[in-house]
Amino acid sequence: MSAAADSDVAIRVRGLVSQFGTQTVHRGLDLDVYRGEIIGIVGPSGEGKSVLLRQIVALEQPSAGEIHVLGVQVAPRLPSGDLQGLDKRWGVMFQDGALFSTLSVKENVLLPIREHTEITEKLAGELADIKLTMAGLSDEAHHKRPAEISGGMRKRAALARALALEPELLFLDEPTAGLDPVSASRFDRLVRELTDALGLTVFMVTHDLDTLHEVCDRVAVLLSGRVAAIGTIDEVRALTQPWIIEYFSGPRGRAAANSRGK
Amino acid sequence: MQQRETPAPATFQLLTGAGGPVLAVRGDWTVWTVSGLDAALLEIAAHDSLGAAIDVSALGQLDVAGAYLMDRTVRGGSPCGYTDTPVRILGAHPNVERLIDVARGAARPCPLAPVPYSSLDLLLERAGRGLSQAWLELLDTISFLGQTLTTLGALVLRPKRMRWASMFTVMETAGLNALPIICVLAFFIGIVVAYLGARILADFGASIFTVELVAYAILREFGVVITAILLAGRTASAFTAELGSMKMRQEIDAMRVLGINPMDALVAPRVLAILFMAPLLTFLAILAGLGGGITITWAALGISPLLFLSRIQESVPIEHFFVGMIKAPIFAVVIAVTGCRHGLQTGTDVASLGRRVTTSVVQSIFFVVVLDALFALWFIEIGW
Repeated sequence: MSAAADSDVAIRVRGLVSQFGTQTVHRGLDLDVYRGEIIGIVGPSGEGKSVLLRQIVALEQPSAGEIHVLGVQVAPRLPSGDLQGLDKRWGVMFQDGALFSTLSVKENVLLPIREHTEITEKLAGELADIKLTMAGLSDEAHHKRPAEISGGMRKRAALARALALEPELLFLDEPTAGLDPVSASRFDRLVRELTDALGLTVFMVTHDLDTLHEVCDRVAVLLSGRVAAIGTIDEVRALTQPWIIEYFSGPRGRAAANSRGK
Repeated sequence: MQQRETPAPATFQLLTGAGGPVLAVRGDWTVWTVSGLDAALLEIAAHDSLGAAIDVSALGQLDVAGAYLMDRTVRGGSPCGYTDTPVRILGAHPNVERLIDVARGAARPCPLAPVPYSSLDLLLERAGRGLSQAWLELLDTISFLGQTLTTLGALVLRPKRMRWASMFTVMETAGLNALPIICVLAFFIGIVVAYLGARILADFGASIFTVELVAYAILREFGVVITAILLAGRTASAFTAELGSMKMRQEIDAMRVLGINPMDALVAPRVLAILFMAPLLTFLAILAGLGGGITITWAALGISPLLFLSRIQESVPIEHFFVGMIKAPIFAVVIAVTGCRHGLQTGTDVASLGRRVTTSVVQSIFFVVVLDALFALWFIEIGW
């Protein structure tokens, strides 16, 4: 781990072990995510993809192993418990959006801006509107409650909230799950455009093969508690591990690959 | 451990260049640094800087917030509305054009100014809303009560459809488990009434009538009212929360599409369970209340428990006991129906569940007290 490489690595996971009772989810998992890339994490259900995400954003502590995010040690948690302002440098979009249901959509985006910056209420409102429009939400939706808008719109609102403080790192948990294919590919394009424009690093847990093809620079496959394969989607597809073959070359995988070929 | 270097403060200068005004920006323009610039930028935006070029040669870091502010300044300061005029950028910066594009791409049409309402209008609107809401609530309660009664009627005809297991579970959690707290409360109420009687009646030299006072109060009112209020606080809220979270997680919808009527499966067992348990609880609450009365009359007035009981037998007619007991099942139905109704009417968001639980407790206590008052009038009229 040379000092030069350190500055290119946004997330470094070493020897991660996660145990829940008698069940071991991660067994010595190593992973590097580079700055400016979009990495997609795939793997069978129950392999601990979302757990990994939660551990990286310091919501859960692993049983063993180290996690560094943007040079800050996240696990094992430093005794001071201090994330050194890391929580203002990342944005997290949870699977169902996790929007605060008592606030309007716009207030959800305003909340982090109000909480952490000294920006005036009026400008904060303008910025929140910009973020929501960037995420593809029409004006009428800004003042609605999360319960009053569709699932796809909630995802967009959650993305806008994750982007409220202009993070360097964006975490997406199943960003396109539950969206119709048209909305899903729109969402993919949105993530790609925003990443290119803002220079984000994106860590994405997904099952969506189209998203992997369309958006991700690299794909990491979690199998039996480790990163079984990592690389561009074509590199990973070329591997002969049985699950990988079934995943990428099953009917859905082929369809996603073909559509990209066209 | 690397940290982002401290951001350079964001500043700007409005220069007059050869081709018009130039907005020369300096430092880092990010969401963390631009808070102080807003007012000054708005001030010059209206006319001075309209159409200005942006000189970014001294610009450090930039994000969407910073780019938005620059763009807003050169296109007149309005937070909304579209513009075709391209932004002229002087100097080189890795991503300023891209970010200004992003900020501009997020432009929205200006909303129409809202029609102002006078405060009298708003007051009247609220009053009207509240009134029609109350009326609709009442209609809804009555219609739900009717629905429940038809469901129960149908179950009597076809008892096989009754969910006995569910009913016994509710009898235990809502009935049996509430027994200790109800008895303790009733005991203390008995103490309070007995003390009150001992103090006041002593002034008239009629301390012995404390027995009648305690018996009348506990038998007619306190036994049943304490039980009902405890059930409202403990059970109506639980029913609303249970059914409400099932509603939120679409479990109720799942039942309906599986051909299971939630009135049969969820409401009927709960209503019946409380209907059976409330009289039992009331009876035990009455005993506990009398126990509290006996304790105090014995300790403060020296009336022995035996004397207390035999005096009750002699001078307190049995009607008083029935007055209390008759009310128990009626309160029980009101409480269970109110709890279940609010549960089933919960919306899909968390806040509505909280509101429903509160409303269900307040409403069931309200109904209990109002009905109790009506009963009091009625029993006096029929001479009980």
